[in-house]
Amino acid sequence: MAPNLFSSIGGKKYRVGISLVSFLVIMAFVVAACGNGGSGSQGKTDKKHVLNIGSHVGGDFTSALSPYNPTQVNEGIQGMVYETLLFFNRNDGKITPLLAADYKWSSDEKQLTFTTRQGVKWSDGQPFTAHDVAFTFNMLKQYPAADSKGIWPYLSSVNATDDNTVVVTFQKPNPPLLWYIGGQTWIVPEHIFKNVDPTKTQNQNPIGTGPFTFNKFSPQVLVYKRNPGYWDANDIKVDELDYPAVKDNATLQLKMMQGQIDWGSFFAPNLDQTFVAKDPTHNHYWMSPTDMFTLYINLTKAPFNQVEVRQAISAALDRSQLSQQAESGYVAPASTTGLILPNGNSYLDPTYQTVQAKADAAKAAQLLQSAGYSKGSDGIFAKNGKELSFSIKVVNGWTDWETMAAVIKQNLHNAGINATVDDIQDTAYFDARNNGNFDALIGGLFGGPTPFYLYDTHLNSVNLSPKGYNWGKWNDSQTDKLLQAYSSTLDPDKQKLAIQGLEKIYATQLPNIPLVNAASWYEYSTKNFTGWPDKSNPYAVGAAYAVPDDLIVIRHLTPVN
Amino acid sequence: MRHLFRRILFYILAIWISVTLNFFIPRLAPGNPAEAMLTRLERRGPISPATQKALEAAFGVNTTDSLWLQYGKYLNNLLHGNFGISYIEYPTPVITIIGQNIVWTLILGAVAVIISFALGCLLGVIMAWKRGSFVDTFLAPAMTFLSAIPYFWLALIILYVFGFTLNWFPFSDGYDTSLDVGWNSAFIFSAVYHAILPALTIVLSSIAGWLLVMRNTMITTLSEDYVLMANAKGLTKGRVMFFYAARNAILPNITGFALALGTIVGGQLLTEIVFSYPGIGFSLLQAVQGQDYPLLQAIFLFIALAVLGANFLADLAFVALDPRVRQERSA
Repeated sequence: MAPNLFSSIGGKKYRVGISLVSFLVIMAFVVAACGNGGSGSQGKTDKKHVLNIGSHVGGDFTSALSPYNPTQVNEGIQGMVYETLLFFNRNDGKITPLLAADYKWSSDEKQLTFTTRQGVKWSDGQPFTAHDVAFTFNMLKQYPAADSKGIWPYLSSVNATDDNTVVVTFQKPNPPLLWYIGGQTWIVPEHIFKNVDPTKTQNQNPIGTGPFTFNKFSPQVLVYKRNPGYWDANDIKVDELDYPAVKDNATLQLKMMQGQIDWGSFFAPNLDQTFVAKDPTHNHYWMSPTDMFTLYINLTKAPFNQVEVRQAISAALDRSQLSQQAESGYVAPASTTGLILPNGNSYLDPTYQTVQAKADAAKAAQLLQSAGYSKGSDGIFAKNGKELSFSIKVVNGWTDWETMAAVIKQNLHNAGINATVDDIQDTAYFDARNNGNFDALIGGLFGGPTPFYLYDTHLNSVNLSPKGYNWGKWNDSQTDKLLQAYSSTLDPDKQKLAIQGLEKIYATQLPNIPLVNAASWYEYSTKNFTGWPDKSNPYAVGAAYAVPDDLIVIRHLTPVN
Repeated sequence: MRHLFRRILFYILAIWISVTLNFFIPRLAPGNPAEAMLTRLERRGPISPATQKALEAAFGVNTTDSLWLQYGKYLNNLLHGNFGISYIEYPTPVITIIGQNIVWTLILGAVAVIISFALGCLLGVIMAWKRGSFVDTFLAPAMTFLSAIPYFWLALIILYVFGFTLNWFPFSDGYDTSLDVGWNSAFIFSAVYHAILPALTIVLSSIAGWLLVMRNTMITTLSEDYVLMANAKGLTKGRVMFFYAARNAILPNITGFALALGTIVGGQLLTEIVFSYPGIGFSLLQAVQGQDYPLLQAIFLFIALAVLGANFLADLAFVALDPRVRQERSA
């Protein structure tokens, strides 16, 4: 029957069509007969221990194998292939030596001397020396685009004095820079990078010192094989790393639940029910607080230039509601000192021990009245006939922020402040944020191994937006002085004093209004590997995208059986 | 000839308009690609202002050239087949990204559209022939019901039931990523296996359109005199049904089919998102989100060319199928 219809159009099309149809039908039967047999990658039974890592969410992989590619670096290149001199644990501030066996500051704090580890080889067999380290830093000087942490403005020179010693000389003392120099700079081999621009080179065959070597690229998956010549090879029990490209968080979660992925880094609400409960013995998560979410307010604008208004907004917020509803309780309400607790506990000024978690509308009202506001007939505070009203920008589709904005709006309304939510596309949001075109917006505060980094990044007047990340435009000489005091000393007591001064400024002046802690999202399964970092053993940040924490985690993992 | 010349002029004009829109519309959005890229990098911590400068320089978005000069350069590059380098997948050339993805899109889309069209037309013919029978009264509303379900919802349900709960089919990717891509049976089997669910959802959601149009036109055609004549001559049932009635009734569907083939190039956006299937639609989404002008421009250009090309083919097909068009033209 069918042939007639189609042969009247053209025989060729018919034949192709029908054969495709029959092919598909046959395939469907074949597949149905196979049943469950064909799926997943667990078929690898020969004792090869493959770790599947779900840290790439988005499009296909690009062959970006240089650790200094400015746009994106493929997962695993930083950490698994290229190492840093030191590892800084952002959970407790501890420093572990990696490629540097030791480091020492000169007494005037203007010289930093690294002693490099002996017996380390590049994965092509060449020896690793202090000259490679010096080369790497001087390469960053030559190609400022690669210097993404902005180290060189503070340095005057980096030299290898012999095969095992590197001396970094500073223009003026700046000990906090050690994190960027030691913990965030990927040491590359001089003999490979000598004549290339590290931001542009494809680096098809990456040669590093790390525990893994790059094995296979495809747009859908990256494969790394164990490096038998690694300087600490005995600690590496994983044979192969697979990084599949996963298109979205929902798919990543499904894959984890089916055991196709062992290590994930994504935000999803209610993981206890949707993930852990499916397999409570193996499925776990640990959201280590490394950053903070805050309500940025445009300090150059009325009414936010009045400190009482900022305090009133802060008092009106129900931070435990924010934590529960927006972040599923993964992270605690934030301290208004700007300290990420509990990580920063040792720096905490006892005056600010209690984190204000519940809303205090009475206090907010009192603060507003002292600022000259009075409540109108509609329940909204007003001054000189102008209602206290502003908009909060959030990124469309970032559901936790959207929920936060809704809660904040409701909290503020209860306190007589009229807030509207402006839910905009991400690029529009970043444009508004970086250029200061906003009343208020929800944003992030980046933490570091000590509380200094958050204050410096977001409150220092040299980092005012659009140049830096001081998006609220906090410009205060006292703050700058305290930051300077911290960064020009190695004395932990003086540093602590400076931090406590900053805490006081934060808590009383509120350059922005901290909401809840922000975590590095981290889910893992103990089905195939154990030894993961967790709350009781926070040896690294767990997120698979955290580098070089990924390297530290891999050194701790042991295969089951 | 004059007709053909007019058509070609029209197509050239249409291409120029679409190329121009491709250039200007993405640039009307707030923000710039370097900013969009920085936001992706931000999750690993703050980035020095120098990096933003470097990105802007790499992307060429900090240029002082006027928009018109940029537009001229863009047209010139297009004429030389130079689509540039993608921002979101820097430093991969746009053409490589499209090449990687379009194969998946074309195969999945073409197979699904052809199956859907063929099945739909065939069922439509049969239903019209057996008007009022059980097949007709049952299938028509059932198909309408299926097509009325929002596509993403249908796809999600199918994915959840067959992919995740029953675990009969994979719920993501275009193939088992532990395999090597190439002409080997393991890979081909895996690719087909991964394509079944996505293709099924596309067929289910689009088949009703073909079917109902075919059935309704067929019913009109069946009441024509030449069909009565054919029956009176004592021709076989199949011959009347397909050669006399269906051949004429299929014309509206041919236009639709050509257009459907043209839109395949644009990708099955929802399918690719729901099933995490590789393809051009997902690349397009990424390009929009990352303000990847070169990739956006290239994808839109391909879509425009495909749609116009398909239109042109539909024009030609009409000439072949409908004698009336042929006569008009030669007149």
